[in-house]
Amino acid sequence: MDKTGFGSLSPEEMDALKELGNIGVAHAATSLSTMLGKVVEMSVPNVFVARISEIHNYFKDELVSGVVTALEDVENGRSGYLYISFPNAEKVAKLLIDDASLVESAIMEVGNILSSSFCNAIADMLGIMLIPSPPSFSYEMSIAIVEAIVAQIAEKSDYVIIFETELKEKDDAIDILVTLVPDERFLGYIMKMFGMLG
Amino acid sequence: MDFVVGIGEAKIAKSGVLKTIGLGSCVAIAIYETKLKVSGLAHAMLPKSNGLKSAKFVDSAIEIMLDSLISMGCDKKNMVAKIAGGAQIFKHLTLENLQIGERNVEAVRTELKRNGIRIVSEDVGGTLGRTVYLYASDGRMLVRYSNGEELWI
Repeated sequence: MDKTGFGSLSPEEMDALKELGNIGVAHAATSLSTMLGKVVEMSVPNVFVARISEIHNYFKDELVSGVVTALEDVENGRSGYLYISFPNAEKVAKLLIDDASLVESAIMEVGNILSSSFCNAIADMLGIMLIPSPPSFSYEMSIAIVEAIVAQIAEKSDYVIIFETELKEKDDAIDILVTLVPDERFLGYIMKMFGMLG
Repeated sequence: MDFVVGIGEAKIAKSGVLKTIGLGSCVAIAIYETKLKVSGLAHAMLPKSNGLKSAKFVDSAIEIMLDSLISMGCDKKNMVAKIAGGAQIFKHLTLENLQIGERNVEAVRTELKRNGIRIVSEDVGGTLGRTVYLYASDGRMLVRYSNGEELWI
């Protein structure tokens, strides 16, 4: 049963969600550029709202590197998780630190920056205060990660939001998936933002 | 023919393969009826239902499968079960509280026992994700770990 209305968003609401993702990754790209001393651009070409029972249609059945961060809402405690996965982790390591052998540390660094700036940017947009936990590295099937996260949020979460992200440095492009697993309250913040669209 | 069982779903089949992908702390519950040769597979996420009848929860998932199987003429006496999953995916306890994997497995044992259904084989726990294939017509079950290793149970 879909009490939140999240299963049937209007095109305008989907656009707003995409914009939320774009602002999140744009902030992340700025932080990343500063750290690396070179210009990195990021954008969200597509956003998907996926039912938990259908997430196997969005992730490949293979091992992938990523980071998981728990999101604490200052007023109400744990309110969701952010999972950032890198289907081309070696490429990320090569592009960003010019060393493909240091995949885990590269992903941890990049994941840390991405999750904290993404989190700050969307908290601003939603008018809340979010504190991300230190990221945890994972090398696992994405579905197993998302499923284990959803189990933490327990029965109150039926949807995940997947921001398909593209990172560009000069002519190189790397795909990244930013998956937001919100609990019911967090979904409420997003719905409230939609309400302000007028 | 492959039937994908999504997270929080349960399906029944007489032929083909029931498949569920990416089990982390969730648990796959397979029930096979030896006489009519029918199988059910569920991918349950949490131990106990909050009153809602959904295959997200171990207790409801088993109930839903049993209802369907019995309505097809199956008999509990001829049913056996196989289970897989219940891993601890995150190393850091800050991310994973309450050891959901273990609690899921415990809930499956309790519910199956209450229904008088024997677990004939299992592959539970550990830290790796699993994908499970259940051959509906004979109850054979293949567990494939995320690192590529395979195990018939």
